[in-house]
Amino acid sequence: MTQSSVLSRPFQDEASDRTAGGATRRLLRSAGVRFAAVYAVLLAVSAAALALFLWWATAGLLDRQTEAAIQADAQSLSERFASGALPALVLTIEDRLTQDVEDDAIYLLVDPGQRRIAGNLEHWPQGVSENGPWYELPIERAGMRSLALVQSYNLPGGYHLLIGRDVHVRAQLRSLLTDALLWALLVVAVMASIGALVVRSLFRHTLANVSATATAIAAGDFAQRVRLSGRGDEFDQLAETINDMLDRIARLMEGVREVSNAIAHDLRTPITRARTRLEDAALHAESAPELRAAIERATADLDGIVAVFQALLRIAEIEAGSRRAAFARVDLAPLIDDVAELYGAVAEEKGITLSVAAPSSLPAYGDRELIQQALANLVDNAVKFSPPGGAVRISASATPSGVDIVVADHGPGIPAADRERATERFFRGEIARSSPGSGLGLALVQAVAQLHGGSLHLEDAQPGVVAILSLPGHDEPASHG
Amino acid sequence: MSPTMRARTTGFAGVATCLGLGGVLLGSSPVVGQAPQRVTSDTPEYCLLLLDRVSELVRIAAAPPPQEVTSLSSEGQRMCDQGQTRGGILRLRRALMLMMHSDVQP
Amino acid sequence: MRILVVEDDKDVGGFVVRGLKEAGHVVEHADNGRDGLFLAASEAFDAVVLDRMLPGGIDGLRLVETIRAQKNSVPVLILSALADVDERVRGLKAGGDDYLTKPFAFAELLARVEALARRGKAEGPVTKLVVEDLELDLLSRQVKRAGQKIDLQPREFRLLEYLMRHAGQVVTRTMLLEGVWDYHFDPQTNVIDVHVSRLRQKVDKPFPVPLIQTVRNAGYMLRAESA
Repeated sequence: MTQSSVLSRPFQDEASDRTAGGATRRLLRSAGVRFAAVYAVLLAVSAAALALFLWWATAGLLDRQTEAAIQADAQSLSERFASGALPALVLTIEDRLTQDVEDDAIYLLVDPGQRRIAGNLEHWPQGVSENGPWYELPIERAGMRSLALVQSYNLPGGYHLLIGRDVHVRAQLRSLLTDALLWALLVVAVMASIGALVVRSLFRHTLANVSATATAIAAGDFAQRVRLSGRGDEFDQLAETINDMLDRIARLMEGVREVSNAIAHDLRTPITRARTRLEDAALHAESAPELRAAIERATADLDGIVAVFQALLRIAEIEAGSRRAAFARVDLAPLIDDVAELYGAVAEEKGITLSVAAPSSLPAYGDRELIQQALANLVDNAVKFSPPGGAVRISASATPSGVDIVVADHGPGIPAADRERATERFFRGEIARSSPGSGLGLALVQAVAQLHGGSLHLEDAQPGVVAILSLPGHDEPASHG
Repeated sequence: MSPTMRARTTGFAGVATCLGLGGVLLGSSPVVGQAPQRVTSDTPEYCLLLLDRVSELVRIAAAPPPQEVTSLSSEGQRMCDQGQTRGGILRLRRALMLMMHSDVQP
Repeated sequence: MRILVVEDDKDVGGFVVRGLKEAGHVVEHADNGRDGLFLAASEAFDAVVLDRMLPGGIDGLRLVETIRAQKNSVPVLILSALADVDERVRGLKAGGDDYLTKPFAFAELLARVEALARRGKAEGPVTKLVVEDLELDLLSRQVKRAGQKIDLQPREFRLLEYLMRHAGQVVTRTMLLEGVWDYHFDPQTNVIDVHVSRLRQKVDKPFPVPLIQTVRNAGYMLRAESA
């Protein structure tokens, strides 16, 4: 597998990329290449840092030792000069040379006229002018070239002293080290290249998964999901989040489809009815009051249709989830009392007993208006379907996960088969079909429950319905709405 | 060479050069650019000088010199004669040191 | 009352203007934002009915913001096809006093406009509301009619209070739901009717003259029949 085939696979379309310039541009845009480059640079920099440290610790150490020796030498020689003047110094230099078993000492003492007085160099080296910096002096020893590290000192009376050491060993070590390190860097370069390739292919492999799924979905296959590697790492988390998002999109799309179907089916009826009435009146009405009556009835029909649209839009708005941004702390106890009071009058009129059992304070987290509407829908249903003399009971309690509101009635109930579908839009079971209503009440309660990260359960009260609305109570509900 | 390899090689060559130069420059002192100076303590003359010194010390010694001194100095002399100047000088220096620090000095 | 209607739709605009005139008000009509702004700024009105979507570069919300910035506190009713809560809030935040979604019943519009205009002229805090022989004391929370004490539950008291504050005006069911129970949705069943009928039992039935009237296709009104 050559380098170019690895690169060109996903980008085969662009003609400009076939040129070398285009290819380089394309490379620089690739995130995989950037990651790989970062890896390679990091490796190279680390290797270089290590190499420099090694150099400092070895050749550098030698340097420092040599310099220290020369300075110590200078110190003792200057003391000798101070105590015994020139002759003593000359003697000392000669002695040091004869006793130089290390065979590396360099000395040179010159008078103000630059004439040699003592030492083992022939004349003062050109270019060594200052007394401070270290100089490297090429020397010849018994026919062999070598290198000396020297420093110059001024003595009273215009004399100059040069002290040094033979450092050819150091020079050899230095060149050896430099060679070795350069070779090492070459090795590092090769390894960095290989590593970079590996990093890049890992990168691409992980992304390939996600991008393949995204491509499939963009092409319309909504069932695709990103594969998880099972390691639970950051890429898996990303994959899970993307999958969640895809699930939500699929649900929303399904919702839209459902609604479109429902609208087609269930709104045609009242629209047809209104139209029929108007057409009938236009064709057959005999008098102005008859016409007016027909028009008024048609207006009422239209109002009914508008109400259904309002409810549908409301449900859609809730399902879209944007209301979640306005969530706040809510005390449900007064809210429940309000709803009970509102429907209490209706219940009383129908001879139904409406009772409330709730603690004096019930904190929850959500949208007050929506919860109010959901609860009102449940109580409305309960009162609507309870027989005279029946009882509707609203109870609420705090649970470990939040709050449960229960509305129970003893009316005809919902048959088990229908209970599943009761929260679908426009669904009306056999029993409900004859009573007024659009079939959207429970759909709205379901939407509100889901928005809050809670749930709606319908159970059999034998007879009757027990509707349990569960809402989370803490600040951050885990929402999968 | 494909673009990737080209880019990479350039990059690393550059880095390596910098480092190499850095390594050489680091801690390196200015090199005095001239013809190498002869070190006068590596010459046959110096050999003779050392030999004289050793002989002098031996002559004024209170007792016979240690065996090592003798062998070192004769070896040194031999090496100097044969042209192995530095080896000879080394041995002579050692002989001198030994002689100076031995008990036989007056 | 002087009412300004800013509405670009010919049918709706004409309908509203005609209806308001028939109700006895003096009505000015503008069909775009710029003219509406000019009229609102230059003349004094008791209420403004304003559509949200207007042509002419200045839309309804901008208009309201501008007149509020001019320290003009005329009551404004905003009409809009945009019904969701966020839009409502936006409308009220911009400076509107009430928000009515389309399509609307004219009776609803009329009732709300008159209530707004009345509110604009409020005389300040009152401690007692009186209509004919019905007295409602806001401090002691007591109700008396013809000297006789009437026992009301807290919500019934609030319902009567609302009706009395809007005495002589039409009050729709929606207005009652919003004003007395703080509900902003349609409960479908006739909950309000039942509550009003219960109130009537206590306030009207034992007495010769009924004060709480039903207004057909609109809502309720509290006043003496003769008035």
